[in-house]
Amino acid sequence: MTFHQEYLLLVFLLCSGAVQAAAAYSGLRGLQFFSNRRLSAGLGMALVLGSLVWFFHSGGRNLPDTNGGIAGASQFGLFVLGGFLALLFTFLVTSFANRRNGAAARREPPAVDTRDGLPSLSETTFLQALCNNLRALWKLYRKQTQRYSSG
Amino acid sequence: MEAVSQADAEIFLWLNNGVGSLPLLDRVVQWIVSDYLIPVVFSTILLGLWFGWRGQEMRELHQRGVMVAGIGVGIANAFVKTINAFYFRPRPFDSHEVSLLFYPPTDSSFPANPIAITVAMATGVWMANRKIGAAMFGVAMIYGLARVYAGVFYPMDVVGGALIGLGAAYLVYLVLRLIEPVPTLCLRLVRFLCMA
Repeated sequence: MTFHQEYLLLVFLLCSGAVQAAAAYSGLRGLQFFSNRRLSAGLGMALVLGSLVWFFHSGGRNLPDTNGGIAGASQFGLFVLGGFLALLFTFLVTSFANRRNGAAARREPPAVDTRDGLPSLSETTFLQALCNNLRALWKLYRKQTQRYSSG
Repeated sequence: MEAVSQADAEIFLWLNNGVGSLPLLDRVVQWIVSDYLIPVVFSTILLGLWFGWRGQEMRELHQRGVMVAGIGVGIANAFVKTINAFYFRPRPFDSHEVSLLFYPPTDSSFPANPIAITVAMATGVWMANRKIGAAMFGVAMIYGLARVYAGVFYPMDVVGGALIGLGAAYLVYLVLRLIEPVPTLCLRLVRFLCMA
């Protein structure tokens, strides 16, 4: 594995862990890998600490970008890519893993407005919340366009 | 100006003279001064703050802080690049006998770019959360001090970088207030995508 790939993996694991810990702390069940809050918080902390220990166990990895290190712009680009992949992975995996909870929430009207953004993830999964929002937007669009329809 | 430069070099040499006397401290400093550790940890804290708050009001407050921090990093970086285009200060190891704990960088010593970036992040967070922001300021200060100890920056480079980071984040904060409701609309758009 090249240094760049190792850095990307570090960012991916760090961001995944941070989102798990944050979701557990703020009660966003739809973003947790496990339904148990403590387990999700523990996994998040383990991912953060474990990835740092893995990446830095051999030292500060002080390499110039002319000799195998990562230049500032590349570092930024890799962080954005790693963070995006971590979020995508979390959204997809949690949407699949928590689909039953989400389905139950869909049968009963959710306690919070689904267009509230992140708070809706305490009741539904990311994909269900996104679909709800898109459906609501489509309904609004249809309503607006019907008002001006000549047919 | 000459006297300031002289004092700067003297403080640098006094700090750098400690290298080698405590091998454990040197090893810890080699970790702290890394290009990757503190910037990556700070960025991860920003991500955690974006998702990690209960209650719409607190969440939005922290998300605005993260916005200030993120844009502030970009502006601070642009300021540093602009200054570097007009002014070049040689690194301490170019003009003094130095014990280096880091690779010898070739870009300008003033202002310290890594410190500008970390202080910009700390300032953005401090505007939303005093405790976490203060802790980040503390870590950024240790980061700057460690870089001086490691032989890659003069103290004034670190002070200059910190002022640029502070100024950039505050400027972003003012501009975001000025162009309101644009930030609110951006947050609403991201909220629609269930990410805020």
